[in-house]
This record gives sequence, structure tokens and C-alpha cells, in this order.
Amino acid sequence: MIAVEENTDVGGHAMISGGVVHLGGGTSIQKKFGIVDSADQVYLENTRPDHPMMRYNDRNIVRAFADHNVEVFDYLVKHGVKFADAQPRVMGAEGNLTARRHPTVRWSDDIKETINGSVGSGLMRALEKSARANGVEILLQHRMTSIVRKNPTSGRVLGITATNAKDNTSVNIRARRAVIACTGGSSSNLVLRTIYDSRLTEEYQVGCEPYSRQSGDAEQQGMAIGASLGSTSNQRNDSFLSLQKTAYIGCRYGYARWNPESPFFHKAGASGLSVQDYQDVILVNLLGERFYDETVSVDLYAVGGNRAVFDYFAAAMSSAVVEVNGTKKRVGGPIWAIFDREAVKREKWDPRPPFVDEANGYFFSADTLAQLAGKLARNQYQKFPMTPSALQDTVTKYNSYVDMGKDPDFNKPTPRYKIQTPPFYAAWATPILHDTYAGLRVNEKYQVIDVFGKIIPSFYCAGESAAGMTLHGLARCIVGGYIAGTNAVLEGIAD
Amino acid sequence: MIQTHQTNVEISRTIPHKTSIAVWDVPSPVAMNCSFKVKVGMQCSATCRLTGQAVDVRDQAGAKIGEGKLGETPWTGTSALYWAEIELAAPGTEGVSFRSVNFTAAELELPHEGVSATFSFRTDKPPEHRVTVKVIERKTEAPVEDVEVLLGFYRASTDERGAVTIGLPKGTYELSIRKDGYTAQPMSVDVRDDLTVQVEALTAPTRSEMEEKMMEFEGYPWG
Repeated sequence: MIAVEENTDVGGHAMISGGVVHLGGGTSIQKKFGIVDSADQVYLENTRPDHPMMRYNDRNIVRAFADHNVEVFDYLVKHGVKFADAQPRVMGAEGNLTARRHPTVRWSDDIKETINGSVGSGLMRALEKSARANGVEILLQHRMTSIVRKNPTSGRVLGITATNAKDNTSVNIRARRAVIACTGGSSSNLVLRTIYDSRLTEEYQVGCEPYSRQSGDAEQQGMAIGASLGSTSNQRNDSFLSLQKTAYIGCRYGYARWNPESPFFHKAGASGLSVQDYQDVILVNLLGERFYDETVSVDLYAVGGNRAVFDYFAAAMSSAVVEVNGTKKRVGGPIWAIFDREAVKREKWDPRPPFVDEANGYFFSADTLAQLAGKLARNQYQKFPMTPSALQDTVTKYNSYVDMGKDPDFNKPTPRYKIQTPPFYAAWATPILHDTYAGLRVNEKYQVIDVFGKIIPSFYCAGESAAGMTLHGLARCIVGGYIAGTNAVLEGIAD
Repeated sequence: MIQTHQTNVEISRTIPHKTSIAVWDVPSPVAMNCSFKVKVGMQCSATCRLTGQAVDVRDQAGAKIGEGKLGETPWTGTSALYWAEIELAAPGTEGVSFRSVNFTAAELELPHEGVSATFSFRTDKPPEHRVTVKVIERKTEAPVEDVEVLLGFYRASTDERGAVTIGLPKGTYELSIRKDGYTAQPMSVDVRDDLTVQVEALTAPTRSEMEEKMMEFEGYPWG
């Protein structure tokens, strides 16, 4: 077996993740903590009609997923994955009612191994070690650039072409039994993400970047040989964690706090600033206009999350109206957190590198708000100028709302602090694209289905590139990969 | 043969420098008919020295109600924000008022664009009572210092004894506190006389503790 990986290291987004694996059905840890569960219960909860995400799941895929949960959990343990000896939890927004969140244990204290001190390393380094010990060859820095099929849109899949990132040379890899494409979803792919949602233009960062991309290579190359997309209703962007308020502002990649010691910090640019209280900032669009109550948050424990946050994202992506050649155009663009020196004191921020990314235009400071607005043009996604008077007027109005004790525009609860004391700051706070919830259509064996509803022989897809389920987290990827793998090895050897 | 003589005429045109304004340390609420001070800063886009330049403050009818001269040194933490402190009088009515700050930049050697900006403040009745808020940690009963105490629109921080005294007009106020690592339910305080209110704060994870926890399994909210 050969694993082809475009990155300089293995693990993809799972490496940067929190290492939480949502497996149930009666795992040994569930039993230890007295949690009653079954495969049927996993199936029923992941197809429940009263949840805004689960209702769209492909029932055949969920059935296969549910029936393999315990088997996969035991497989992971057998292959060296250590799970925390802790009671699994439940998070209502994810759709499951039974406690199935099984956290892994961080692989080591070596940040070179964990990449960012991430707990997900406990899963991925263990699997890497086991794979290598079992003879799997891992070809790093090679990107799958095409899938080779016997005929352009018919016949068996014979292998792939991969391109070496170091010298741009190509290598053809023949698959003796099958190709399993699992390139991590499509949120980083501008063409694919705008198929699902035309608002997702280039300015939005993606969770787990810059370590790994959700390249969409499986989907694009799969479609090039006739594969179909599936379960596209799952990719609605009011699905929990398909979009996310950035956790860290003032940097391009705010999904996780990037540790300056990380081997990938040079790509991240800064660690960012976490906002303790959104009363300390206002959020404005690229024109300098407020667009929503800044304090809105994701409620992890509400069914489907806090629905208001999806209206926040909609406003963030569509509130700016610009004029192009005499006609009005609705655009997304950067979202900026605007604040002053007093906010810096209240939040105990250090608004300097490595916490903020001034060099690449994701953080600015200025003596006045007008000067600050002018500086934003240095950001590559600030495609239309923010006029100095617009930002000044927005802040003047907001400050008067603080004096009034109410926000007639967006109902921010009792606006508390004026933005008035120089210097002033603007920090990148643009939403993050997180989970990919649709991809190539697969059957219960994770064989890829073509646009005519037929199986593409010897071609499998798993992980976030496979369609069928919206369950947040690592389990749907791991179980899908497990099912694909166990079926792929049963394929006959190609001529 | 026709000879063409081309003359290059140099047209000299000086583009005025842009200027911008900040207004800060605006107290709010201020007591009706009392005087108060605000800081007004001017900045030139080319960081020209603006020392000695005049700025004025006008009311909503456009009448000049205050003025000042920009000082010698820029405001701390800024590159070229020259500032002045200007004394103003609060109106005799309750509510939110607006004032404008104007900078004509008329006396500078190089041409500068003038600029104006608006700021707001709230006026309230004069203080009638003194409310002392004492914040203690519930378990240990130890005083908690440097807690931001909010009583309606009024705000101040506790001292080393965990106490702060705020002058207020009669009324009912929502009392809440803010300090990293502490939490307390907001409460309603009816002010009819001088009084002392004790807030029992619960300890909570600090931001840095939360961030550390985020890196461990039990606090990580995502997958």
C-alpha cells in the first residue's frame, strides 16, 4: 500500500484537531462509564428528523457508519491510539444525544511531532506509526493531479498521477487493487466551495490551514472521470461548524492559536488575539459598516447550534454593497474588529508580533480612525477602499449607542465601551470555513458512484471528501476510511 | 521647414495634507450644568508638527463652546497625534448630547485640509448618594481588587480593599462586575440613600487557563 500526501508531513486537519473521535454503539469506554449505546442508537440519532443537520444524512451511509463504530474503536486501540480515560461527552449542536466524544491523548510534548501541541496528534501519529510498521509507504509532498481510468469515463480505475511539489515532476502510480481518495474535503478549493455556496469567495480562511488544505482534489479529479457529488443538502452553510467565527483575531489563520514554536508558524504568521468580551470591539465589513450584534456566539449545546450565528455569517458575507460601473454589487470581503487602547488594556492583549500579523496585512494600528481606515488597503482582500469618514461615522454612532445604553441597529446587549482612546486598531476577524459536509457520492462500501448512479470500479472515497454525513469531527472520516479500506483489499488485482 | 518649439511648463501645485481627529476621555455620564474636560487630538497624514494649532468645539447649533491649542508632544503610543485638553460645560438637561470638534488648519506653513468630527456624551442628574460596592471572593471572603464595577452607565474599579465608591442620582441600577478569573450574577440595586453593596464573586478559569484547557481534550470544543 502506498499513501500519497501533498503536505510535508502526515495527518491533515486531523493532526491539528482536538482529537475528539465521536464513536459509539457501545465502546469499551462507554461501557466503563455506564453509557448505554448501540449501533441502532447511533443510526437513529444520526438520521433524526428534528435536527437541522442529521435530517439530511444519507441513511445507507449512516447505517454503515453505525454498524462499524465499535469495530473501528477497537481497531484504533489495537493500532496504538490512546484514548483519555474520561467520560465521553455529548454536544447538542452536533446532533448526537448519547455521549460519544472520545478524546485521544496528545502524542508527545515535542511540538515538532504534534505540529501545534495538538491533541489530534494522538490519533494521527499512532496511525502513522502503525502504518509504517506494517509496510505502508508514505509518499510526502506529492499531490494527486489526476485519476487514471481505463477509459475517460468508463472502466476500472487504474491508478493516479501525482506531482512532486519539490520539482514539479509527475509520477504515475498503478493501483493493484483500488484507489481510495481522501483529500480532506473541499473548503480550501475556491471552485468547489462556490459550487455549494457562491458567497464563499477567496477571502475566507479554512480551519487547520496553513498546515493542511481541504484541497478538493478527490472531488475534482473524481468528477473528471465521471463521479457524482452526493448529499449536497448537507453542505448548507447553516450546518453547525461549516462556518465559524474566528477564534483568534489579527491573523489570517484564526482557527487555532498557532504556537510560535510550531514548525508551521512561519506560514501562520501570528498567534492571534482571543476576544474575551465582544463588548470590547465592534465588527465592521470592508466598507467600515457594522452588520450584526458582535456578541453573537455559537451555542455548542443547543440543538443545531445557535441559529442566530448563521444570520451573523450571512450578514458578514453580504452586508457590504459596492458600486461597480454604475451598478450595485453585494460582496463579502474582510471583517475587521475595531478597537482602541482601552480595549487592549481590558482584554490584556499585546498587540505586537508574534500575536498579530502586521507584516502580511492582517493587523493595523493608527493614531486616528480615519488613518486606520486608509491603512486597510494594504490587505490583499480589501478590494474596495474603506473611506475614512465611513469608519469614523460608524464609531461615532456606536459611541452614541453606548451613551444611550442600547443599539437600535443590531440590538447588541447594552453596548458598554466607547471606541475613543488612541491608538486605534483593526484586526482581521473574517469568518472561517470549517467542515466540508458534502463530496463524492459513495455507497455503503464507500465505493464512488458516477453521475449515472453506477459504481466506478476500484475507486473509493472517504473522509471529508466523501458525501453522506454531517456529523462533525473525526469519526465519520475514520469509519469511512476503515470501510473503504476493508472493501478495497477484497478487490481483485488489476490486469 | 517648420520648426516646432516645445516648451515645458512646470506647473507647481501643492496638494494639501489630510488631517484627522480623535476625541477621547469623554466622561459619560456627566452631571447636568457641570464642567468637564475632553482630549482632542489632530493628526496630519504627513505627520507634520501641529503644535500650537487651534481647535474648537461647537454645540449642535454651531456655536463655539470651547477651544484649545495643540500641545508640544504627540499622545502616548501615537506617531503624530497632537492634542489638547478642552473644558466644556454640560447642558442642563438629561440625555445624550452631541458636540463637534473643528480644525481649520489655517495657520500652518504648508496647506492642510481642515477636518471636523462629532462626539457624544450623556448627561445625568447630579449625584445624590454614594454607593460603595465591595467585591469579595465567595469562598475565602478575600477582597478582590481591580474589579471593574458597572452601575448602569457608571463605571469604576475597586481598590486594594476590594471597594469602590460611586456617586449616583436616585434610581435603580443594574450592578455587574468584570475581572478575568471572576464571575458574579448581575443584580439590581435600588439607590434611595447612601448604601454599601457586597458582591460575592465566584472564581472562574482565567482566559489563559481557558486557553490552556482548549489545548486539552476536556476543553476543546471542536472535533
